[in-house]
Amino acid sequence: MNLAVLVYTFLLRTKKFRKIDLVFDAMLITACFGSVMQGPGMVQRFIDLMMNPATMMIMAWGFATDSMVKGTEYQALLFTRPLTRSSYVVSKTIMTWLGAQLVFWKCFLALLAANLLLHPKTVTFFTGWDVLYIVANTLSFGALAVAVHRLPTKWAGLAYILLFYSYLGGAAMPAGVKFTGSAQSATVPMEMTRDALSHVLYPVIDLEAVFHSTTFSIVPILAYISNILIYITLATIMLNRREFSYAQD
Amino acid sequence: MLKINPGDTTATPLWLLISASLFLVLRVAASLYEAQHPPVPKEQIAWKENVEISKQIEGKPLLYYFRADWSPTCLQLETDSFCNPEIVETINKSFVPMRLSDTLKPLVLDHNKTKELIQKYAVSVFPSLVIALPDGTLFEKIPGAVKHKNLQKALDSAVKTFKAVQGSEAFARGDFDLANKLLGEYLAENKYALVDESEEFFWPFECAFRRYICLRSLSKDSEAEACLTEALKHDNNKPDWPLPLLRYVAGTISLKELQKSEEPNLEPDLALLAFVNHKDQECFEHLEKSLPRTIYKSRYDSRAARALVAKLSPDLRKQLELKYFF
Amino acid sequence: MISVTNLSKTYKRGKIKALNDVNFTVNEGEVLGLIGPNGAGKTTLMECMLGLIFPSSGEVQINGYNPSHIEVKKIIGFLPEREKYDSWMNAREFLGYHYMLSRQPLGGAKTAIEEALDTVQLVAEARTRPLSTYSKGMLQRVGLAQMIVGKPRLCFLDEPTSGLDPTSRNVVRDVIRSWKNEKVTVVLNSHNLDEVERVCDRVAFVYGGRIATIEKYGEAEDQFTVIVKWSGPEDAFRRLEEIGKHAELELSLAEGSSARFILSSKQQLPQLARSLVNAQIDVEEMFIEKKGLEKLFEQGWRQLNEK
Repeated sequence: MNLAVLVYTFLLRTKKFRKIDLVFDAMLITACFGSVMQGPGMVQRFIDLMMNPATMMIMAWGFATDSMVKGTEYQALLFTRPLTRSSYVVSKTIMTWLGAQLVFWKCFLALLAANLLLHPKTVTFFTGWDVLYIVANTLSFGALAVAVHRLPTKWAGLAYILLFYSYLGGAAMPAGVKFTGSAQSATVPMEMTRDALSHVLYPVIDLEAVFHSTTFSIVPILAYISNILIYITLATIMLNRREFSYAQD
Repeated sequence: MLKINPGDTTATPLWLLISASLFLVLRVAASLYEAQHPPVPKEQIAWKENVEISKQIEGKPLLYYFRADWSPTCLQLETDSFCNPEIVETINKSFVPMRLSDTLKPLVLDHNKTKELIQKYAVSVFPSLVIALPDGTLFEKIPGAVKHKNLQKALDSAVKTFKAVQGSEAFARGDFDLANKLLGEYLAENKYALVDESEEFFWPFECAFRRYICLRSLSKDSEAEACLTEALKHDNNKPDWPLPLLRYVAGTISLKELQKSEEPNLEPDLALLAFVNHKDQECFEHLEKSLPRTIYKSRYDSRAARALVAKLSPDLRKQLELKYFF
Repeated sequence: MISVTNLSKTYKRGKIKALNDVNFTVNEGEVLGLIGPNGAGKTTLMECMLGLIFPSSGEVQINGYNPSHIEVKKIIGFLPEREKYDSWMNAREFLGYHYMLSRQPLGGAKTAIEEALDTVQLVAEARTRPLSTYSKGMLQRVGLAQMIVGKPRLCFLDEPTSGLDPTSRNVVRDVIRSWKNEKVTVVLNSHNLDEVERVCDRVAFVYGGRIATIEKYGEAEDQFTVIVKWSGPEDAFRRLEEIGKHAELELSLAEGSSARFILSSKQQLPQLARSLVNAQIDVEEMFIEKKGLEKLFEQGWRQLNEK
């Protein structure tokens, strides 16, 4: 882990993207007040939306990226410093994890404030399990975001969009329903593959489901830890092999 | 290839490689083990297999679970939600659960029946949960692998309100006898004990109105009055519908004030009231106003009002039929 | 300190040869200049030495380590050609960032940053402005400062004076000279032959991905060469030799009808002229030979065109 990278990534978000944050804050406050005015059902839906994997992707992206506008981190200069590329990846992951959480807590506090202002008697809040859910999932999404950003730029953007839409699609698998009893639908193998892929490295873990279930299964926890380590390893390997060169004179 | 020399800034740390490989191996091993020895939950959902008989039995809402063997999302739903003890308890206690699978092994169930059900409920994704009333009417469809929290909420809401929906369906068909029975049971169970401002707030009051109509049409006026009084005891003085309607029926507010509420259901409700007060002409006038509003055809009160057309005197009925049904 | 052995770098499966079997060494405390035409491979060579790109064959060793080794990174400073620094930071933050990156003790950060900014003569009011508001000269100074805070023992500078005004160029030169005094090794990449001459101990000419010649370029500002061309008399050559002996001027070469005298100062020029007249040599032409590096450049161009 590298302190300089941690501080830089934090400053990057707080100082560089300040103007964009103002817009985001304004939108957030409007959304919070709007949903509270609609009632507790709407508030709950707002919270569910925040915790949706697709939203998590966006939150994590903000920190994992070098920049949102032209002018990325000057990595050609950065990697002439005594900094191992693996420590760079790990530091970025940790900062993305902490940073994404900050965004969530800001959103929830705004929601709570709106709720207390408009409907002080009935406050829809989130449980301890939700807190753990956010903490755990921001870490895995942070690692995933950092890994995706180590791809060459055009591939990174594409990969991000694909992942976003696969998570946005949710957990339903549309199927050509042919009740023949032996699943002869031609698209089933393709759908199975696609589904398997999205499940193999699916970064989400629902801690409440794991611990509240009548049967305890360690597979989700192992999958979660394994996913994070795989993302970090992939990111490190990709970064290690990358060459930094600017155009010839 | 992969560099692991210590000291090299472009080397992959050994600890990372080893831990990633280790956890991957553990994970694959655990998955394979669990696939062979799936963990058996302590409480299981008592799935019924025979579709026909189950429907008749218990007067509980039906829970159809459409699944497929080849869908990992179904597995996810089953491990997340169906292993949750609260959900299992809710389902076993308050529903008649039926599981319909598209499986690679020969089916126990009749293919055709299952196909019929799929078409009836327009199931398009796996997994899908369908909550139906005891007579098969669709109550709610829950596609996808919902999280157990959301499923719990949906099931609880269904348990609380299915009788109200059942009764309202009967009311909408014009079967006031059955509607009275079901709505009476619902009101007796719930006793208006709902959280202020929750989404199910309006149900008891709407059911109270419908029960009032049923009782009046069955000439049980005193019971009708008792029902109305009981409902108004829980009046929270807010303008939320259908409280103004109940107040109007009780005589606390005038028609003009009622009409201020701009509720789309107003005309059908007034038609129903006029009918039970044996004011056919008034009923006819309100029906004339409510029938053209086709977008509200699915609402219970609107449907009940439409059913009234058959009960009007022949000349009034003819006029309406000519205008709106042909 | 640096040893480059059989270094080659190819792109597109060997179709493009950016570097072709480069061999040279750089000693500790030396200032090496790399000159060459555009596209010769100077930047590629520098990037290989910095460990930013990986050679296709051959190796680079810095103090016995691979360039991507952490021990090497600890002593390196790099001034890139393009000043794409984090434009949202101000000078102090940027230097603080690089100070932290170079693993300096955190306590002395403030002092070191101010010292570095003073060394590069960045005006005080500019130090709190974001880098996006800086001119090219100021950015170059900040670049130098970020090298200085790292306390490097080996410096790589890529086109440090391109597009700079004379004041900024002086700053760069002074910094390089101070490094020279501290026995810091410097590898310098430049088109500006003047600058290279003034600070470099050795100069390498790079063209077509190869190193053509490495000349030892001492502090030869005081020496210059005069070429004399004559048309007669017959024994002019003998007479020139005598002139050389008498005037104590070094006659370095004499062939055909031209001779080359090396003078230690311009004051000797009139003396040479008088000697030639007294010796009754029919001087056709007498001129000061073009400066060493320019000659090297031209030589290289010629060889390139011949190939």
